Amino acid sequence: MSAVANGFAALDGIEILAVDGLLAVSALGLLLVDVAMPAGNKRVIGYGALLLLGLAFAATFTLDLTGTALSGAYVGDGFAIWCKRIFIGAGFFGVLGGLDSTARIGPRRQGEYYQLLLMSVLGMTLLAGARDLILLMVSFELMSLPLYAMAAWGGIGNYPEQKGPIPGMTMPSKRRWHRPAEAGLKLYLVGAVSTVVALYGISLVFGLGGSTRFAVLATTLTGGPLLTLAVAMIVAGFAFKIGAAPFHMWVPDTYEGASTPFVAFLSVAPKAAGFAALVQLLLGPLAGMAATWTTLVVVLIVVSLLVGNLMAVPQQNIKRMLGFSGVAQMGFGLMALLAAGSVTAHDVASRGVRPEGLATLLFFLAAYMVANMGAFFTVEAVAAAGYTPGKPADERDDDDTLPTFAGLHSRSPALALAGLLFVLSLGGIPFAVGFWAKVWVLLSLWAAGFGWLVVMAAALSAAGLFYYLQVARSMYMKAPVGADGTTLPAVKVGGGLLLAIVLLALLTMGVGLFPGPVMEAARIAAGL
Amino acid sequence: MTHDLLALLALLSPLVAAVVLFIIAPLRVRGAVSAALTIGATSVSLVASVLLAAARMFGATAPNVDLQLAWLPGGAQTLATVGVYVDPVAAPMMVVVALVALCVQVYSVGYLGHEPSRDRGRYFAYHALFAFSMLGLVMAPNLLQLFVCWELVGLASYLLIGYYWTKPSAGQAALKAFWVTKFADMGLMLGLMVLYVKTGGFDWNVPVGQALMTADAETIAGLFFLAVVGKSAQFPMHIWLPDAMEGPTPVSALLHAATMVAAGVYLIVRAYPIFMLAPTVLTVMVYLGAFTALFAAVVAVFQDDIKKVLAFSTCSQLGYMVAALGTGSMVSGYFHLTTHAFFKALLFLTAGSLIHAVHSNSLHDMGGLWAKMKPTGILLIIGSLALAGFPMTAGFFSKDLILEELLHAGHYLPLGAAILAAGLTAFYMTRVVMLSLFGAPSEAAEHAHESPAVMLAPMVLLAVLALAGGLLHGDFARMAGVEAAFHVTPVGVVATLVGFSGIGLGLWRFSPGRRTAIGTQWVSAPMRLLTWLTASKPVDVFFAGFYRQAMLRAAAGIAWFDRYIIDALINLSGWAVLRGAERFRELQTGQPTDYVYAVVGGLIVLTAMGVFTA
Amino acid sequence: MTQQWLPAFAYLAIAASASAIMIIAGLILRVKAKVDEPSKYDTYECGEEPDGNTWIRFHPRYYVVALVFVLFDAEAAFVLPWALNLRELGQFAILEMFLFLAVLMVGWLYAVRKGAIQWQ
Repeated sequence: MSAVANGFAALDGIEILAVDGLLAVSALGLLLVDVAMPAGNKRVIGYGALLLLGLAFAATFTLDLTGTALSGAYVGDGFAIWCKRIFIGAGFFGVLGGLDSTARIGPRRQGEYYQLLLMSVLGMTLLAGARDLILLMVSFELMSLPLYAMAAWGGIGNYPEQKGPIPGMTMPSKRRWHRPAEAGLKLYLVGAVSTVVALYGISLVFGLGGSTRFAVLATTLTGGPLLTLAVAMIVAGFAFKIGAAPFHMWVPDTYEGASTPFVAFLSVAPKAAGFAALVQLLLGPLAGMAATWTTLVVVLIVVSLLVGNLMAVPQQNIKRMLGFSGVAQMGFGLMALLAAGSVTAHDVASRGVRPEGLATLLFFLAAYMVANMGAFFTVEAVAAAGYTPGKPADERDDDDTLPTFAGLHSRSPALALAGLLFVLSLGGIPFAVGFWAKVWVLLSLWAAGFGWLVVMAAALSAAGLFYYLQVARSMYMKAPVGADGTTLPAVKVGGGLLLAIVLLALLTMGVGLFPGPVMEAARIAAGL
Repeated sequence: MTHDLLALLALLSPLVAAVVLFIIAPLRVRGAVSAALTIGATSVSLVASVLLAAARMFGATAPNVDLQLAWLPGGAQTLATVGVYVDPVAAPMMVVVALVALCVQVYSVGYLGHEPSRDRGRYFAYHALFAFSMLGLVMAPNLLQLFVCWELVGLASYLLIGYYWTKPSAGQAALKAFWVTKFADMGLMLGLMVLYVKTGGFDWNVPVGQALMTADAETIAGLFFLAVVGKSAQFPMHIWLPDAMEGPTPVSALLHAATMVAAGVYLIVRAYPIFMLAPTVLTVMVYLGAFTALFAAVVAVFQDDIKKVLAFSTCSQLGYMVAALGTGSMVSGYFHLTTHAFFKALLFLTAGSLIHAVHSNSLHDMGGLWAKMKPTGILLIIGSLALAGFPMTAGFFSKDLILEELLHAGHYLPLGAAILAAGLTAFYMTRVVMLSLFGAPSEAAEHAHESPAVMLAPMVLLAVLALAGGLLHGDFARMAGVEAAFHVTPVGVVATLVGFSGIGLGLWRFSPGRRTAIGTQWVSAPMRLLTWLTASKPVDVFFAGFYRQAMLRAAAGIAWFDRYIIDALINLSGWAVLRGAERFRELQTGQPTDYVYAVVGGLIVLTAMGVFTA
Repeated sequence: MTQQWLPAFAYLAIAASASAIMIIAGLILRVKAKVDEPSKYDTYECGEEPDGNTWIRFHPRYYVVALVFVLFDAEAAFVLPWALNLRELGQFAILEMFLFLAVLMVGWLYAVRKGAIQWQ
């Protein structure tokens, strides 16, 4: 009880939580600003959120965030800082690309949206360095709860048929109006079940290990049937958050229903957070159970690769397609985790294997974030062009489908080029950043001794090229003619969305051409 | 430090110009803006190159510039780097590239003055791309970057040959050049792979203690040489070069005479440590080079198109360089590359000036232009003398050096071929001069007028270098660590005499009095046979036959296999994927309860797996 | 392995059979109505005559009020133990509680401002 008796000792090293503190103050501050502001279009709050996220991102580079805080419950290391950059970066791009969409969906309620997003990012950044079961779980829930609300963003409430459209808002059709509610509900229901499962697993770990601190658990956990059960529950619970099959069922429906810029955020940041949690637990106190959890992860990988790649093929809605492709991508992320977990000190000593798994995971997550967000923003740009004022509302339901991309090359050459870059990166074609990520993951997995899995993954991602290139084909080889024979309009992109797409495209191509420095940084972040 | 900056400036300023022009269409469609940007960027490169070279030649010994950025990391070490590397070998080539590029770009302003603005913009954007790629090739710190730039240079060549894209022949020529050099490039790629496997890197300097086995070196050098044969238009892959004359004449001067075709020779110079370990390849180089020198010189005699004469002449001179490098003397081949760049670029530009005046490539449409175009005429004569190896011109020194080396290495047969080719060179250049400048003016020549100053000025600069460039031979020798002073030797005297007799024969044969009905003068029966044999027709015919008989049939077979076996397999797997997807799709019901069941089901499966592995 | 897992499987078996026995016993022992009784399909309300359907619409206002209530209920759950142990915890705990309450106040301010506790 000495830590309690001298309460101020708990503050030792608190400065490494500076970025998290900034995010917390930002979230609360924006809420107060929102409350204090007169009703109306609150677009300015979005700019504030953007500025604060940019500041936080810069702070991860300028401040020294390494150390231990909260009496050992929180550790800032290279891994945590790298993850923070991914989370804050995803939040930044999520806000930047969503400025217009958010203002369009709910001009008077933007404050809540950005506040929720900041809260979610705060949960993630805390998660990245959590070394305590309670902190891990609390920050995990702090991340998840805002996401449920954000997924349903704009879908709650009656369709304003009688009252007429809300001023300053372009009305979607009735069907589309309610789709976010469905998206949020499905995310919430499945998420709640998964959280319960993970929480039960964690409570078992606590019961067996007698502590919530990872450092203690690493020595007290000895195995046994109950711990096996706990590991299975933890893996299952977090597999939901990263959307690995068979816990992926919410992914396509949520992606399809929720607003696209939010999906761009949802499809990368919480997944990276899920991986961060898995890494903290499985490579930390549960490292001794590697023999068990690697088997489970192999099952998840195989099912994810199969389900993701196969299901993505027949999809006509690009957001659903990207959802399933994301499931397959998570298979790759899990492969990096598997490589990290199965290379033992013995392998390193006797076979000269390099323990690169964790570094490949970090690089993969960054590459996936850049390309996937870019792909969703491209979808948003094309779909937003469908919101032409004169177009009847009920014709706008299929704005995210493949046919709307027909002939994008001639309608907006630059956007088509950026979109091509993103799908090529996701498909793992050189020289986009995704190529290096996949190659590096496969190499490290090969070194870890999972040759058959490498072969299978390579074959399935070759099959995956089919659906990625279908988008490219639609953009470049089809005439810009809609299903009804009308010529599709030119796509004008502007503002934050344009900036986000340009930045992400530059990152995709730049790091794709010069992967060296970033890979080196990932290696250092992973402590190699 | 300043040198690092200079090197980066030299490389990146054309890149910036190219990127700006390719991305910002409004700038590109304005010919004048595009030209100004490109010429400005190339000027920056030239100034930087000259400063860098001056600090490394004429006895000065500045340390090498070596800036490298990790590009592909692989495991613990870096697989490949990109960067800039300036040593005494790269520096003079940088100057040559930047100087000739600048001359040609300035010249193009006048030469293409009547073209639509949009087309000129495109033209200069390609030029900027070329300047960047070629400088990147010259300054490459390793062979991988050299290869990347090698391909970029090929792309620029393809784009520039096809500049007159509305002409079908230009399109075909561009394609032919692309495919022939691309085929040869496979040699470079395979060579790089072997090099990587054997040494674990892409350096031309094989690390100490990792000496290449001779057999490996032979393989690598042999594969590299295949690429050289294609790029530097050596027999039998020279066929693309005459066709490439479809491009605008300044392009021929820059790419297909001075710099790009010399990239092959430069590759040998750069990878010389590897080539030195491969004696067989070196011997092949001597013989193939000497044969190309003679063969192309013979063919050049029979060309009526002034640009074709110069194209075959380029093949011939590149043959000299390759042969010289084959003797184990880097200096002689490299020096000839430099001097040749100056006088051949000059010749192409003067030819362009003549073509500009009469609107025809044919020597028959020229004649008597001396009266109308004295400055161009003088420049053409200077270039011809330098090419013919007239004493004290640049070509004299460099050619003499090559012949010396052939003699010292004891390659007497190639030496004979080279001396004979020197005589032929003097002969066909005299022919060009006599036919185009003297005699009765043709109809077109009546209306000829001198080119504007913007075209003449670059030519004058090149002419000065063509005359005085030979004085640099001592510096080139020092660069390779040899002291060399020019001295009169028997072989030099013989070659000079042969050259004089070639000039004399040409003067007599094509004197204005004897040159009635020139075009039909070659028609005596043995001459006709020789014409047919040498006009590179047999090689073209052979390639065409090979293409029709062997490649098309093989392709048909492959196509059958592809259609009925591969496609069937792909369709089958596609069908299987779709069917599988349909099955899986039924699981995605859209009912949240089912999703929760899936979570629970997955949990049970995972737990069971955990139990069984525990 | 089997040894280890025996208790778990035994427990599962007992749990499954207990449920099965209850259901089967219910099937056997229950009173079966001869005629279809409409009250069988009524909404179950403990000892009361049901009044209307369960599937009625509640005003979402109830939900918001409940949420605000939970906010302060949870607060109390933290504040009470804190107050009891304040003497041992010292100054740091006072600071921490004020921080906690400040964050809570932001939420409360938001709720008030959004009209969560106004009925109309």
